[in-house]
Amino acid sequence: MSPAVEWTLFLLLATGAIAGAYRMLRTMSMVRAGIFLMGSFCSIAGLFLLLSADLIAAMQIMMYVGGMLVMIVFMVMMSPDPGGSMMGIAPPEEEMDMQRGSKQHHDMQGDRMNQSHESADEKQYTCPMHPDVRSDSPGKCPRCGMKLQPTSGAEHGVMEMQGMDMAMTHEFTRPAAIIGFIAGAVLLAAVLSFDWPSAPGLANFDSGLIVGKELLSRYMIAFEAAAILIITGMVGAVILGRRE
Amino acid sequence: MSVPLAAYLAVSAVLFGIGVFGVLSQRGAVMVLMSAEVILNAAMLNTIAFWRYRAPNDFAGQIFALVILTIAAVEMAVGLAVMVMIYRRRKMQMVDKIAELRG
Amino acid sequence: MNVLTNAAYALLLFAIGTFLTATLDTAIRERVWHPKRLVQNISQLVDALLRSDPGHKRIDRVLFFGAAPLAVAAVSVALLVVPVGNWGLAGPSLKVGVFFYLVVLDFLAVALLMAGWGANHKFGTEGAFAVVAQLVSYVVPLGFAVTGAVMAAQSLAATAAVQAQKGLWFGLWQPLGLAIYLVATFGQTFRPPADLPLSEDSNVLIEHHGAGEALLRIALYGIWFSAAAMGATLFLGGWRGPWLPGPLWFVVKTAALLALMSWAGKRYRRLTLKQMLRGAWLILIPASIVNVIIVGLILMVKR
Repeated sequence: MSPAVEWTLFLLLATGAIAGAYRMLRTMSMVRAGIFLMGSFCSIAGLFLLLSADLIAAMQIMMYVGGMLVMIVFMVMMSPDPGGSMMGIAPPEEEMDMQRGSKQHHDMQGDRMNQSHESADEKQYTCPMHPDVRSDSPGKCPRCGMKLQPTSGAEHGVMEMQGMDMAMTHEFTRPAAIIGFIAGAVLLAAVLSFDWPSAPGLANFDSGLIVGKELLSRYMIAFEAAAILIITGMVGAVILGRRE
Repeated sequence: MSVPLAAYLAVSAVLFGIGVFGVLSQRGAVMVLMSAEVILNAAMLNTIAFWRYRAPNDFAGQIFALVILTIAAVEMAVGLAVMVMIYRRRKMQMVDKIAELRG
Repeated sequence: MNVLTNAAYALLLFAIGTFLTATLDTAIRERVWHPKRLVQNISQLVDALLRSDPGHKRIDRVLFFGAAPLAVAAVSVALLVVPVGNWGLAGPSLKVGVFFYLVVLDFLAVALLMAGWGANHKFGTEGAFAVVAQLVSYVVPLGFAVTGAVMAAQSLAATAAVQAQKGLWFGLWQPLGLAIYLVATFGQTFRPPADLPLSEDSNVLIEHHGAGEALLRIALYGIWFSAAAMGATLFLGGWRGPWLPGPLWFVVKTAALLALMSWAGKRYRRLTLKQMLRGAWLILIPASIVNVIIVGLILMVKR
């Protein structure tokens, strides 16, 4: 394909991959996080296709779409706010009955009655990370710099739901971001400082056929080791997840 | 192939950085798992890029990527199983609250 | 040029396929063969497509409105690899075609999850999780049933599967494979009796109206059509046949599978989630593994 097409596709897919991964970390809704990560992984699969690894691209999509769907189900099961009510998406009128999982939702439902007469009618702003920071005008939190969200008397905008801290990230976000940035920057510098060779030409091959043959001949040990790992993992997961 | 190898490696470096940020900063245990998947994907991208640009006729690169994919899958399964266990005991999955092993 | 041809092929196949499927399904389920009813259906469809759907205040906008385009895109891409005739298009000759098809099937489930969750309604969420449960359970038997055909064809390309059925159709000496494929298709495409996520109590399409709902229903017909088409390709010889031209044989075989599944949907009661999951994990998966072993033995003996 022509260089223009190739570069366009590459840039689109690379942006998709990076943006998807980043949006996953910043969104408040767990379900959206799963969908964004799925989008990121599919963009990476697209990059694999650009690199002529069609079988690996298909396997990546198959595994990660299914995997992310299962992750979403588990997140909904175990998170207190999987739908992102913090974002202002109201939970349905049936309260939180529909969110499966724990008893704590039933506790929260009863306590919400008490919570509503706590707040008065004035519009107050609070920091999502530090609920004790209050202000009458929008702006930035003096402690962490995050944008202040309005409190509306219900659970929107307040990171505390009945004393349960609902923040997605904890207090060490700044150092974590710095570490992540340094790790990425170091690798990036290493990558860009070398003089990499250009790509050799590629014969037209049938990935499935070749990978299949290699797995069963030259790389039989890798194949068997992977199989043992999968079986062990499956059995272990079933045993761990069993109810006593 | 007009896109240089460095471009793919740069993308995977950035993804690695994002993954590290996610693993270290997220409170929900499932989000930590998902960020770990991002890191593994960055490694897979690296592997396939090197396979294509350095030794495209030797399929060891693709086999390696398959093994990484397998490991990622198993890790996700076992991680979720452990998480379910912890959730059943402690009724929550925020990593800063379950930082101490008890009983 | 090649890209445009393939895209046009996929979209045309989508349009024609869904139309034929919907007609056939309605005809069998309601026992009407009158063309007036057909015209009625078309006008209803156009009316629905023209109605816009603003969605109520409580929806998750990204997920709710992203569901229909994703579903249509997924089904169109899946139809890229279906070989209607011996036309030498790049899509059906894709080297990993059959695997590609299995993979793209998942995206319809993602779209339904988005639709169900995005509606922010109790029934929608229940349906969404039923969708995930069905997808995860039925994709394994589907994959293994397809593996039998792929082993016989010696390649993952859809056209290779058709070429390899010169002598005997795969479905004839892999009857277990064909049976498992059909049963798994019910689970994957949410056709009755496996259509719990579309029932009244746990409906992923709840709160969806107008164009969005119409597109999602069309996509559901489309994925059913593509699954039947793939089944015809892998197990019934695709476009191969003695006197009639290739594409006509393709249509006949696909229609036969569609009619069979439509009849089964009418005949059997809707399955509960527990029945579906038990059926998949306890019966279908072991049966499909046995099928792969049997096919392997037959191939070894034939060699």
